[in-house]
Amino acid sequence: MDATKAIATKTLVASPERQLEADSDMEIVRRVQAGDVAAFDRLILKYRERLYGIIYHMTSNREDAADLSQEAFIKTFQSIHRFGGQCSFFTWLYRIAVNSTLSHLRKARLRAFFSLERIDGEEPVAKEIIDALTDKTGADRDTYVHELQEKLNDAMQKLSIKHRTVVTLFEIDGLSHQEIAEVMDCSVGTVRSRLHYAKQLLQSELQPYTRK
Amino acid sequence: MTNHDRQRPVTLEHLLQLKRAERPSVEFWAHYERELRAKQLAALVEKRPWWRTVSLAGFFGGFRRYHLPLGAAAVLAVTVLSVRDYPAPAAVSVNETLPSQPAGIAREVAPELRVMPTTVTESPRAVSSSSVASVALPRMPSAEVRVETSEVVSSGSAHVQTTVAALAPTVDEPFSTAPSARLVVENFGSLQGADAVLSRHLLTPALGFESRALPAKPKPVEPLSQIKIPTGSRRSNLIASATLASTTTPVLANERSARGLSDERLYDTVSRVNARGAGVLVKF
Repeated sequence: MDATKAIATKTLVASPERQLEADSDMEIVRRVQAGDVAAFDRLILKYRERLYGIIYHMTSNREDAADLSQEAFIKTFQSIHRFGGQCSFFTWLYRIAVNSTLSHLRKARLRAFFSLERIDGEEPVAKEIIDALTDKTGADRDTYVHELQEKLNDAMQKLSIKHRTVVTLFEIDGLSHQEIAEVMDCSVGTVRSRLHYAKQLLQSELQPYTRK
Repeated sequence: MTNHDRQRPVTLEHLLQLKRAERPSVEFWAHYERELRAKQLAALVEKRPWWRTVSLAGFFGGFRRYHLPLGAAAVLAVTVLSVRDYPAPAAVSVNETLPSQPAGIAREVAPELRVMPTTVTESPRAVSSSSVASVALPRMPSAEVRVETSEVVSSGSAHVQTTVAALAPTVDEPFSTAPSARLVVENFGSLQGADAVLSRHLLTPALGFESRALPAKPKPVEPLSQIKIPTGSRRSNLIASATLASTTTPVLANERSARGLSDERLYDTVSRVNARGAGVLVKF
């Protein structure tokens, strides 16, 4: 246990919650490395939605997101004996997933098509935003939400792959600049620059839907 | 469409938060888990190639602190090998020997040369001058080609004969067995052999060509020696005619001067009265 804490202290985390999360993950990883294969299912259940969400927002395709996230979990499981705790487990898992997605997007750049999930309009944050945007109800409201969803995905797809990744990790998944820099293996300044440029482009694309 | 009349602001961050609400259903996760389980089992059963099992990061991680000296050593080794295998081409040195020492130079060079069998020297004693050029070929430090040029002067005409002798590979040098040097030597030897055979086939039928193709020429004779001396009767006749001609000509000259005729008048007279054959032609 002392070794686990010593390794965890080397990881770069953004908050105490992240620190506790990293320690918990490292304990599970040690159990998997010791031969407890079933312990890896806990890591899958813990990160599958976030991992799927990141890949989905990068690809805008639910089938690709499912395949790529599963592939990332399998790669992680096959390589977990080499994981020494140089970074937190979720950073390592995110890095594998993001690299696989970037490689997939580079290969399938010319044959990209959308396969969108349905927006859960009953979620409090989404409901509040939709209410702020329109006063329509019923079928008109659903049509409007679907149109807005397509516009959002169109605007995201106009970004480059790396800019889209930064926006996804920061604005949608809520990672810090430092964590994004670790995942994408670049500097924090690069992350900030990419984020600034991407938001400028998105602002110009989504101008009709924003209001100061 | 958009409701711009509402008071609450909607920013880009709000729109991007809306994307968080794009979530799959619960049924999707059940299907997702089954697929992942199947792929995980397939990955466990599938035999991975050995290079996938080797951790390159761990392998090269141990050398991380030595990467600078290892890189410098590698660059140094490549440089040494390059300089050793591909030296700069040496300058061509041509040693011109003095005309007073041709035999000595030839004797010096002779032991190192493998003289071509096609070398034909009409009169070796007539060598007036010779020069020896020593050429060091680039990329072949052990092979040295020596070119001996001899001017053989015969009695009637001067022939310049070039004897190319090559192949003085010094055995003691380490690169004498280099593949490129051996290849050059073998090619040169085969070329010399082919040249010898070709020369023999071409020159042998050509020898004595004039004696076979052309007819025998008569012995040249002096034209004056062919003149025969006339006999006695013929000589007397010739003398008589010559004497008569010398006596008649002055008579005609005297007669003309006596008449007082000018040359023009005489010409007219002769030309107006012309007797030919059976007729007489008179001009007025």
